[in-house]
Amino acid sequence: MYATRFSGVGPGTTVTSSHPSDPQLSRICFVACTSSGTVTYSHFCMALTIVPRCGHEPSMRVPGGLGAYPGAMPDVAPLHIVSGKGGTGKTTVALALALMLRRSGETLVCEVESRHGLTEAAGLAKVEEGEERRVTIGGQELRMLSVDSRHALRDYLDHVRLGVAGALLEKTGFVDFASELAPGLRDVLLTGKVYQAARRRMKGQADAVDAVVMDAPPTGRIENFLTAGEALAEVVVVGPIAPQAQSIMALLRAETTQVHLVTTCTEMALTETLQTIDALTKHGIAIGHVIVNQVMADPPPLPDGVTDPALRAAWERDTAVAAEQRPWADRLAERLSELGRGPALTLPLLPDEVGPDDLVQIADLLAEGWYA
Amino acid sequence: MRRLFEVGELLGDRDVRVVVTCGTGGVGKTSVSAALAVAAAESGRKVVLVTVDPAKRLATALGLEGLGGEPQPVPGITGGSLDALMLDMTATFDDAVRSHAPKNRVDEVLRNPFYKALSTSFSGTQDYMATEKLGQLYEQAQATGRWDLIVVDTPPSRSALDFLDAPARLDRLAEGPVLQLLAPSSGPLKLISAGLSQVTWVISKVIGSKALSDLQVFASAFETVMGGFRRRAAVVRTLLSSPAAAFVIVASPRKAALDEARFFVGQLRDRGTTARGVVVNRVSPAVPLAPEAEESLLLEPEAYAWWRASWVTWRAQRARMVKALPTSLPVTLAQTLEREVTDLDVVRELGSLLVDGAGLAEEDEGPVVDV
Repeated sequence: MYATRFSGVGPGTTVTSSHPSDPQLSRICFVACTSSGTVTYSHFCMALTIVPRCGHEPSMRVPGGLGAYPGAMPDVAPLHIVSGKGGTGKTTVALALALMLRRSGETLVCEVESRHGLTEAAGLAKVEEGEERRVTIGGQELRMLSVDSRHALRDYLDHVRLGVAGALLEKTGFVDFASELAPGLRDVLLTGKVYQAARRRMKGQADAVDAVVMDAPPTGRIENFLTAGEALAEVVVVGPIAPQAQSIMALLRAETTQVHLVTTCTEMALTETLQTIDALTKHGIAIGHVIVNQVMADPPPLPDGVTDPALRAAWERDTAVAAEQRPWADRLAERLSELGRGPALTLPLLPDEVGPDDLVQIADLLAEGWYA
Repeated sequence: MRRLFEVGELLGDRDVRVVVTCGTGGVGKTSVSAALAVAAAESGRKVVLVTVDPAKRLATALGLEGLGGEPQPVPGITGGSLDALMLDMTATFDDAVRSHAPKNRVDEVLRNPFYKALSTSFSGTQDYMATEKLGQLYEQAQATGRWDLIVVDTPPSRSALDFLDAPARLDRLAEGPVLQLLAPSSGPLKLISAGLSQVTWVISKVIGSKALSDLQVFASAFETVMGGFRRRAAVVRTLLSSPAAAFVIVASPRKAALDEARFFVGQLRDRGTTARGVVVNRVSPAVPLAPEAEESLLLEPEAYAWWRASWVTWRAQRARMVKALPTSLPVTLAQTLEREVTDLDVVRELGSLLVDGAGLAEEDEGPVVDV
């Protein structure tokens, strides 16, 4: 099932759509149900709808955004960008989301210069920088890619047929210059690799995937990271990097791309999440789900016989933390509904650290609530 | 028992003029920095706290909205004094250009499209600007005596080391061929060899010739600014490698954060510095179980499951800390607070937790119950 905001349509309505540049993508879409401004489409017909977004040309929204319908948009794999405040469990959610999407097709999960965060979270052997490898988590096989700017620059120079020059540029320190003085270029190169991965099917590559999940930089840096192409396009108007930067921005603004934000039920994380929603929306980048992680449940009542003061204190503390979280959960729900968005997904606080088995369990929890 | 990291002793040490916190995102580094600054100020020191976090978390933590790029006094501090500031990347960069560039080039630099992009959008610029700001504050502190301690919360970059290495990178950049290549008129490479012109050709193929000429104008203008930047960066580098600077690592009991902490210790050692200690923040409280309580707990499956989860977490965290942290590194543990660090009282509470210090025991206490 796929949901999006749409007004003037109700259950049973049929919506047809076409796009001037992609007439073959015209689809008939049957609206199954609506609730609080959210339209849910049945997935048995190939649904595609045109949703005008503020200040932008009407753009396509494809049910393949879920990654579940490989046939829905044959050229570009849906891109799921997972960000969140540091420590909220962004990497864990990215992995679990990849496992969830894997149930519907080949899935690639990638990290961008995050130092083996994915393999560490999944308890796997390192995937080296620039490397892509098949990994198995909880019995499911995923592709895992570690994107690194030096490799990306070299590949890029190969791509624009300047491969020999790469060595020369590296020798003169241009590579250092590019990735250190002008990190905007670095960000564009990193997203460029992910962009290529999303377009493998279109290129007829054997390693094509049906969905791409990116474990992206934290919310503190996500706006700069995702809009580096825009910043770069402002200073570089011609030359092959300019259309590259523009295509990347186009992919990031496509309806098949969504940024999911992971947060905890704390004031600081929620404030940052809401700021990020505003900032990315202004740039025309679509926000997918808000995932509230590490939600503390009220502890069960302690039996009367328990008098141990340390145990009582721990129980009271957990009760206090749960009570502290509640108003922030309410605040988030309120704000999301003001923004016309569906409710956030919630994930419980798990005892200690997440292992591969937990990832499968989190994938189940995500699948349960994904479009409900 | 691991050696306790005596935070109070560190903050009371008048020879320490700069405290730099390093740690990955999500460990509460900004809160710990604020807590250290408040504790030091309330013990009588004149403190300035620099944060470089774009999420304005410090502002929230200190109940100060809209912290400016200039130090502002934090109200409600007793004993000494505390000023706080948020690094304003663009303003710091503009100021640096105004003070370092020759008067006739200032406007040219500020108007250049590459400069604008560099000073506003690009994330790594923060590290250079944090260095620049720390240098400014240190010079001001030396000259006026307004502060006797600077607490620096490092930028949320790929690594806190990006901040530490910013001065060296600036040197490499200035001495490397790129700037000289792009600004050949002012560099020693007035005679462009065939090889070098090939490089500019390649660069122009990648970014276009218009951008290349903008970049060349920027580079030649920037080169004139570079001298001032590098002078200040050199001051900062000397300062950070002197005993007047203390590095405090902030971690959480998560494996990734602890591994990163160990990595920092090694990286600091490679740079000739020693980390003073590690603060492990957000540690779960110990959940011991008295034998008589155990029995009645066992009869209540839900309550037992709750206890069991807390117990497992506590034990696993402790084991991970013992395993991951180098034995030579002094440790202090700060339990998860019930409330978020969003007002001065909670900052103070965290500060006294740190100063009081809770050590890391090598061995588990309490029974292991399995069913």
